[in-house]
Amino acid sequence: MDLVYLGQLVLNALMLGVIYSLIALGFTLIFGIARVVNFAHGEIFMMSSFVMYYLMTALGLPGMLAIIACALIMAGVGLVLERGLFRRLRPQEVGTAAEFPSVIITLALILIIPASVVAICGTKEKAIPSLISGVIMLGPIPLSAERLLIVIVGLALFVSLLFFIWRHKEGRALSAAAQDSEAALLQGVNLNRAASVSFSIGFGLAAVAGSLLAPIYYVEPTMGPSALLKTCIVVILGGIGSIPGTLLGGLIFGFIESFGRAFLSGSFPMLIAFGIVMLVLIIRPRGLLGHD
Amino acid sequence: MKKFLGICAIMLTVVAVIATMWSAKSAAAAETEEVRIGVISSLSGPAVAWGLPTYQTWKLQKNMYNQAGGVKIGDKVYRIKFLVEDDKYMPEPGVAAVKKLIYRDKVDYILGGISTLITVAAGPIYQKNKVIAMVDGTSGPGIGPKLTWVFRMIVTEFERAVAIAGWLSKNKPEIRKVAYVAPDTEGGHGSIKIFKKVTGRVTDWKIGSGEFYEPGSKDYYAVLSKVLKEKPDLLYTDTASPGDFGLIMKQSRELGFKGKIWYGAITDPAVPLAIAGAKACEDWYSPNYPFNVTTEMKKLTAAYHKEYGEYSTTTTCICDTLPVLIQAMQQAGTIDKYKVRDALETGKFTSVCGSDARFYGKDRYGIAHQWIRPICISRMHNGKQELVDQVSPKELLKMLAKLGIKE
Amino acid sequence: MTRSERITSLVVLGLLVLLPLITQDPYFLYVATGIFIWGVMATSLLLTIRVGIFNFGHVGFMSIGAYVSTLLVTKAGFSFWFTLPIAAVAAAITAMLIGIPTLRLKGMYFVLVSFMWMLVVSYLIASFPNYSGGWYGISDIPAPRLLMIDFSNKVAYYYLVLCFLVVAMFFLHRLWNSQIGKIYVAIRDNDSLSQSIGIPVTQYRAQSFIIASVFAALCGCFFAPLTAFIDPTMFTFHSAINVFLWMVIGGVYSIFGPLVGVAAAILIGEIFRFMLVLSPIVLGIIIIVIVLFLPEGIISAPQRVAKLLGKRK
Repeated sequence: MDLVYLGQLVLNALMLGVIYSLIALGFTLIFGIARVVNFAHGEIFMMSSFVMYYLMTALGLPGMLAIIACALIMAGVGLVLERGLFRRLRPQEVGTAAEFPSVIITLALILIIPASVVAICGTKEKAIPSLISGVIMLGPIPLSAERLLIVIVGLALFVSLLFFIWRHKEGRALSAAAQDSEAALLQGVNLNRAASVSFSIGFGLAAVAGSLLAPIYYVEPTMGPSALLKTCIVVILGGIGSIPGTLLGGLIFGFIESFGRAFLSGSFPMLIAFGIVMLVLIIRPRGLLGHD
Repeated sequence: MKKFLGICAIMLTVVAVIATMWSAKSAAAAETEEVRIGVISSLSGPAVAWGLPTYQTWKLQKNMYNQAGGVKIGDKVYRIKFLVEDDKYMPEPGVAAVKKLIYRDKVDYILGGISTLITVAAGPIYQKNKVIAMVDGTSGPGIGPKLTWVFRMIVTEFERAVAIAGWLSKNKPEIRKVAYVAPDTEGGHGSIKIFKKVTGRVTDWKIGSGEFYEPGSKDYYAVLSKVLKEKPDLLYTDTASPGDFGLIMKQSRELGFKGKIWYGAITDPAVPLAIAGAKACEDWYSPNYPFNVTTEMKKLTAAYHKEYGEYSTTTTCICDTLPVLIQAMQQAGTIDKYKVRDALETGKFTSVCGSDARFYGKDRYGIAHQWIRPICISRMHNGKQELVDQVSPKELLKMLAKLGIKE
Repeated sequence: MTRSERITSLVVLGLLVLLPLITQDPYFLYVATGIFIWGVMATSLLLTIRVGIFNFGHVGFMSIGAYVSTLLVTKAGFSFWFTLPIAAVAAAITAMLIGIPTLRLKGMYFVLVSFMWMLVVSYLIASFPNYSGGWYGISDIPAPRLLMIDFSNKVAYYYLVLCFLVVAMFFLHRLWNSQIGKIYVAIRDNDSLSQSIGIPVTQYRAQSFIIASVFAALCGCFFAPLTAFIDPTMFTFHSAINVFLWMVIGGVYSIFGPLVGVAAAILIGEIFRFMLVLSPIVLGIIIIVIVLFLPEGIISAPQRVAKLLGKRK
């Protein structure tokens, strides 16, 4: 096999893997800490892409600034949703899940968000100019600078998040809340605040993924469901509650997609991914690196 | 006592709902000197990008007729009244929409039906109720010898492929080897089948490699690398969304492809241009209709722009549906559906894209209910779409003869 | 059944029986028949919720039922009535096959898996276009016949499906209130405790899963002749979400809840049809309002209202 071809496939796999990991990480944080299965996470990812589009075209913000602004805006949205909506549904007793009503709300959001986006922005696909262009040569292999940037930014984000959770006081509080809310409460962790923070970070991560990926492809209102499906696959593969697991699951899935498309045609790569997921569930239900 | 109140509440709700629906039904009383035409379109859901401009174009044309005082059919003057339903591009709501128009609103004519699934599902309903359906779904078994009331108003990819292949083969002799990519869907496979058959008979190109990709994947490097390895002169693709097609062009140029690109469908060039950039779109051939291909088209698209603030290529595709129905009614001299159907089958019509347009298709579809009109050959050059040539129905039939199709 | 429940359901049943005599509008009957079918779907879904399983892929079984029945009728010339038990068995077997590896998973994982396998079902159906019509689906599905009754008549089909609804609701209601139903609740509330007192948790879970799948498949069988058309996309993401939503807004603490939710949602959808693009937004907002202010569903509304009125006194 052609080295140049191989190089392209690997870079692509890494890029997709990092993106999927970022989105999945947001999802898993929201579930782990706030105990909400955010089915609307795919729609949040889609909405972030549109926010990025408007930031860059209507406001003319330069690329990196737009990504940060987008992440902050979506984090704000997450905060508002948690405070205004999901908090009311969380039972006051510690240790029980608010799963059911929250799930229904996220399903309702799946109805509301895409329809609102269509009503405001129309249905035409929208293009965003590349953040950087050009090609970096790794020996004989031309690597697209755009895609490299995504891989680097994404990995940096992961590392800093890990740092935050392990070292920083706030992050450790979050981790405690995820593992055992009763004990965390006894230790003085404010669970409400933890939930808000998890929503903010979770939405922010989806926003970074959405804004990074938008210039590579394009932006349209129907991107949500497939993003959700991929998130589910990554979360199952990597294990809920594990940050390194999410990264691993995302990368594995990125490679399956990228290389699967190279060697098999049509829908087979997806069916293979499904098959692998089922296998993981049977053999090791908590995922590759999951605990719980 | 409390439970009794509950029961009463439920009963009242049920009665209220029945009353609402009952009164809505009786409100659809017939009015004279009005020709009532049903319209279904995808006004929400995944195909709204096509469905909404379609409906808006027809509404505009209807308003233009009514503002001029109505249409003269026979010795009466009629105003056109639309009854509109949203099919949401899904079979269940689509069939429900058709049933609503036929059973509740009792129309004799229905325009629209992008989704082949809906058209196919509604076919028996049209036949049973003898309703003239002017559908605009281009692929698959939408019309047929048993569907004597269904007319297809969009030139299908088959006729478009014949026109372009024939034209390119005659006028661009430098093309010798071609390759293709298409989504792994029935539409994608269908379009490649047509592509292979047409190029095999109408041209003498060599078909190199081709690949099917997972629909909506947005990542075409792997697939394009495979296909462009042999350095074809032309890359063919079809049934991708404008965004995906933009990505295919962008990524194929990034991989070093310098040949021509033939995209089988009519698509708004704005989106692919924005995504791929003018340089990547160079030498993109398509059956797109420029907005000024005829004065009629220019007038219509300008009016559309004035009303809705944008130009839409959808307008150029579906702009014949309403005028042709009206022309048929005028040629028949009545709005009686049996006579109008005869007029549709035998008449010669003026398309917005030029004259000499009519229904054909006995050889290929088993029934002459397929619309043909002058087909444009457009080329993207320096970021602008230019009209290169037009293939008239007469020339098209000559090319079709090479495939053994005479009529 | 409490006395008021009995009265209410008899009254409602009476109204439903009389409905076709008031209006013969085929479109109205079409919508009503659809409500019955989706009502049984939502109610059978509730059965699995009762035991603590969040089955997001319930419509996958409906798909299996619809395709098995339709293919046997159109390709193999079976009589519709024979396809019903065959479809039921097919669904039950599939439920067993899927259930074995997945039912022991914790709630969240099961949700994701059920979501995925529902998509796998539609992918698989679409992958064999020569048999299943692929993504284009199967059209012109004939209505069943019984002796001299031709069910292509909308009124006749309405009554047929109404009978199905009554039978299904009767069965599900009995199950709900039975000893088994109480065990389901115990399992949902605390499965490790239930296990420790000797209840075979997984067995009961499997039982409810299989029963629900059978009902879903039967719904699919009745659904196909109603729309005269089926394709793989009718039974995926959007339908799955809808069934879940309708069930919840109706009320998950009563066996009649889901039916009320389905009726309310579909009727609201019809009333707001004219809003086109914006109608999902309206529906979504209504759902959120119901979840926040009527957490026990629409069916609890009469009691809530009564309570409010009672307070004023």
